[in-house]
Amino acid sequence: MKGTSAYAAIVILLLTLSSCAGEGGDSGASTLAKTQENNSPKGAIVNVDGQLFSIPSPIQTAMFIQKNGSGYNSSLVAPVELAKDMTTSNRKAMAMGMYGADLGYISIFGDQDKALPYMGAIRRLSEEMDIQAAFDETLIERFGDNIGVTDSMLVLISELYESGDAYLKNNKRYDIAAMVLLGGWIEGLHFSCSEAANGSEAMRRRVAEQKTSLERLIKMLAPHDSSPSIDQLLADLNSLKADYEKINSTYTYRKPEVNAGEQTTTLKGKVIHQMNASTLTAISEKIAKMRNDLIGSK
Amino acid sequence: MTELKKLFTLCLILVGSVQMSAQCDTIASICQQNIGSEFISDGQAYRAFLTGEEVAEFRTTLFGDSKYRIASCSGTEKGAITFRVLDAKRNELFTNEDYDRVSAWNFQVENTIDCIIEAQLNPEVSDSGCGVVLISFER
Repeated sequence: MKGTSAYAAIVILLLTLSSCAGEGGDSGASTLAKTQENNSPKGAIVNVDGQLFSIPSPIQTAMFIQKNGSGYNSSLVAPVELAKDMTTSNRKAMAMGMYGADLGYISIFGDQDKALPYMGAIRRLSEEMDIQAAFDETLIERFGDNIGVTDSMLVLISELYESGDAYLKNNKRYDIAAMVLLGGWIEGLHFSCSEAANGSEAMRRRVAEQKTSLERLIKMLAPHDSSPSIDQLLADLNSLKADYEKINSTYTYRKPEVNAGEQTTTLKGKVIHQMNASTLTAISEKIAKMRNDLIGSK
Repeated sequence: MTELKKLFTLCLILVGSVQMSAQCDTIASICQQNIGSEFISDGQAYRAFLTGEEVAEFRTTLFGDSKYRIASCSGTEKGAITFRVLDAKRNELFTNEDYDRVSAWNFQVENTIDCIIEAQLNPEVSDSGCGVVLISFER
């Protein structure tokens, strides 16, 4: 009887603490997964959030395209009406990442009419995946209030990404977090490949610079290869990696320069990527195929 | 009784993880104050619960012709965390140990470079806690 009472007390305590932590719409689970290695000069290495990697921001890619590309092309973004055709969690998550990248591209070029439907699609997908708590309602309201104010829209889209990423990792949904990042990365690379095909040398270089991001994405997805759809994605990414391996990359270390007064360090290391035209074509075709596999079929 | 002990241990672990998550959220929110309005977040959350001399490490690409601000925090005290930026060959490019463990630093990047970012608690301030790293780029 004593044991039963103690059991009940523990369960009540646990439920109370969990509900307290859940207030404010945030997670109830640990964010952390540790892997320790022994090659650190200072101490054991902890993998941040179960992953070692960071993927380039699609917003940053959109900004780069604005600076170095050939201008706005509304046909580059994924049709927003296809959001309703996404049938699995993996597809929905990838579509969320893709539409997030599209939203960045649309916003930076000031296509205000398109922005709200894309935000609506992201919100609907999050509801269908039951992760709507990741997105603070006020964040979405602020976005609606700032349509047309490009700087504010970009900040809000980045906040949206960050809040979604933190929520998914807090809830140990690393597979979904990785799929959102993958969707955004594919769309960003699709933009870059299209601009590179138009002859922009800067965009061509940006395509080549995705080599290590691709390797990180493969490592991110590999632990979640239990479903056929992720197996297929990994096969596609590894096929893409084979093309990236044809790019000859060299890095030369150069000592950084420090301006302590401005709290700024200038990184001067030099990387050279040599990519021939056929490799660029192969990468562009494979990214187009991966993108079409997502948005072209149900 | 043994089962009760196991249950109690499980409860402690679960409660601990809930509290860790909330602690990380709070620290991330405080750390955000180091990112000025001229910078935009890269949209990812980098957090790890650290103890003793553990080092949180992750790899990122900093793109050329861009300016970044990297902030790292743990707890509410300044100087609670050491962070280092290394190139892919582990040449040290920056450590905040040279600047009183300042919470944030800017990086002007001439050419795209693959980097390793390491964060570690300052043992003089704390021996355990959530470490948060934020990466942002200039508008």
